[in-house]
Amino acid sequence: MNIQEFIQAFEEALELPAGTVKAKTRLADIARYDSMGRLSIMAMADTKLRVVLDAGAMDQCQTIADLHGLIQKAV
Amino acid sequence: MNPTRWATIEAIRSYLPEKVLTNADLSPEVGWTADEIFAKTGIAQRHVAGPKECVSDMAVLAAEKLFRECGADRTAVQFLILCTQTPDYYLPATACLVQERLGLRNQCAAFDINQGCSGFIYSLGLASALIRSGMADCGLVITGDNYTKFINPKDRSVRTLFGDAATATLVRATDQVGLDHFVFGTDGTGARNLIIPAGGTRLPHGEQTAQSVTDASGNTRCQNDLFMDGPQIFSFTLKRVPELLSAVLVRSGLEPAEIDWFVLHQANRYMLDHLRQKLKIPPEKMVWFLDEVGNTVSSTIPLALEHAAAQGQFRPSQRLFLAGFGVGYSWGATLLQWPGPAK
Repeated sequence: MNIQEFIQAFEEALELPAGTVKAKTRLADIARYDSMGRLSIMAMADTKLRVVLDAGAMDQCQTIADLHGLIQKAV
Repeated sequence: MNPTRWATIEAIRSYLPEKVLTNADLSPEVGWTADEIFAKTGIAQRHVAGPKECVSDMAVLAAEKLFRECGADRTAVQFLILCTQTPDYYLPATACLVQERLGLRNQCAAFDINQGCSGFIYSLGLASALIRSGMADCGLVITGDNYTKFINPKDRSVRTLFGDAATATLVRATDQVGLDHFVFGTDGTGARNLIIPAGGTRLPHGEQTAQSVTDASGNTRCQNDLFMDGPQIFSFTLKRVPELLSAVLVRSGLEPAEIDWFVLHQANRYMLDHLRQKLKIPPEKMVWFLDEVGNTVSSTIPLALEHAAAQGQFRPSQRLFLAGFGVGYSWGATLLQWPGPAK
């Protein structure tokens, strides 16, 4: 999954309008990326990529690009 | 283990505390609308034990209902397994208090087990072992928790989820296939992800443990309060629950399509629905009972069974997959062949 595909999947999972986030967007600045939002992203990774993300590793991610990198490593 | 002797569930009854906390009640306190709370959790209301209402009180009411409505003979009860993580006291065991209040025989074995989400399965496993080994013919499995007593009113991550309840299940010997193919597991590395940090001997209550802290998500708690890391718990369930189902299928030699009903620990709707899809469980085979009672910890599975049985969902000889998973981390599953006419 390339970064653009990931951004699209991320926006869909959190029900954000297309174009809301970019690779450099800080996760802390995304209101919907709360505890429930993180569950949505974990569910998305599990469904689309069969990847179970480690919640602790997700917490270390600062940006959309970091989160994408985590998923790429797990695939 | 006697290959022609099983333990089965004869009857289940429950007790729910009188006070009900609806999403409308919670909304002003947590900053989400009632609809948002329901959308996030699948829970519309949860029951909350009174200030002086303890697990033994709730357990006695559930068990008395069982004796009254099912015609069970309390003198036949040879063991009482009480599963709780919020006992009346450190000691003695809450089961001993309940033995006395129910008027069970002095020859009855009574003990607590400290497990949460997996607790009903662990309790059934012990009950099954006592019965199949010939040590007993009949016993009570009681679940009861008062998690709400340990929840900070300003911690919406857990306040919207948990409710209090107790259940009493009569387990009896049978020569028909009953409970079988138990699988258990533990991973203590997950201990700190669902915990009440203070109040035990590791960290006694004190001035420091009562200091409240607000986290980055705006949830406030102190070390005397329940803490849960939702994403960590979700990650754990995604890994372990599929393994649990596979292990039971391997032990039993069954195909998934041969399971008639799936009764999973009712933690929250979002997680359970994702698990259902991941495990490819047809929606019509999934048993749900969460919206009216919330996450009642060790009582979620027996409450769901009681509710479904009362609706006439189960037919004799149908195969039920029961699975509990969570705090510990601890997990367990079993198959139950549903017995004869409901009581």
